[in-house]
Amino acid sequence: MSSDHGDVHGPSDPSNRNNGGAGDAEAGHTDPEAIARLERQGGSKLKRKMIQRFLGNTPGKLAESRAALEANDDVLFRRSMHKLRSTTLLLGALRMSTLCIEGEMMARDKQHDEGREVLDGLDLEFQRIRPWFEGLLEDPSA
Amino acid sequence: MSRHTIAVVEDNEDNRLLLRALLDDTYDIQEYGSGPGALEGLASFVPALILLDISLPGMDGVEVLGIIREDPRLKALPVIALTAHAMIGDRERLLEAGFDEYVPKPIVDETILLSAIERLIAGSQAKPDSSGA
Repeated sequence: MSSDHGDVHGPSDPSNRNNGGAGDAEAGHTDPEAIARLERQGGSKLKRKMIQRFLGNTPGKLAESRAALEANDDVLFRRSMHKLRSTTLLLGALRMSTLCIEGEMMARDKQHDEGREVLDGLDLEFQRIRPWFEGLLEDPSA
Repeated sequence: MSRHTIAVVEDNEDNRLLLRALLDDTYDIQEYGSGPGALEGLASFVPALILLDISLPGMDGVEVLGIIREDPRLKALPVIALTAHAMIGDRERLLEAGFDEYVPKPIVDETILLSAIERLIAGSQAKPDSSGA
């Protein structure tokens, strides 16, 4: 999947990294160690549940964040970025986590245009890493 | 032998899921998604220990702790701070605020959390004026 979307990346460097291949973890984007840690801490059941929740809930969470931003609700936008940051850290969605931190800062500084760029970046990044997480669920050993 | 109850105050459901998975083999868990909700629950039930997220919406963890420490029933209750902020000085700041321990998120080494819980509950149970489940 091409990652040449520099015009819609967040305020920090555009993540124009080449995809390592469908199903492969990408350095800087996904962290297999986080998934292994979830499995160690709560078994494959917890791992699967967390991945399913992440895949199922993230689009709605991003939509809520965007709605908050468009309503100029900086408190709610910042809160939504903080919560998503926490979840993405758990799942090892590294680039998303970094973007969420940027989103929190944009909310703090009331930088709405930059906040929209962050959300655009989060949307793209989620679509980028989604196949990898879906692949983890398809793994019969998971 | 009865199990101790731990109150988990954390607004992120994914974090609560993880904490429950880490703890429910050994402890009973009472979950709260907000500071006011936790304070309301603590009015009728005192756990053996509280895991308290710092970055709660509205009333943050430090404010919740302040209210807890003002309550004679709860002031000796062990409270562990959970926070994604891991800057230098954060631990000292939180301990000065009245937390008994501090565990950074994400929880990379769960043995740190588990041993802190065990140590703090044992310590509070040993005190003559301890309050706990």
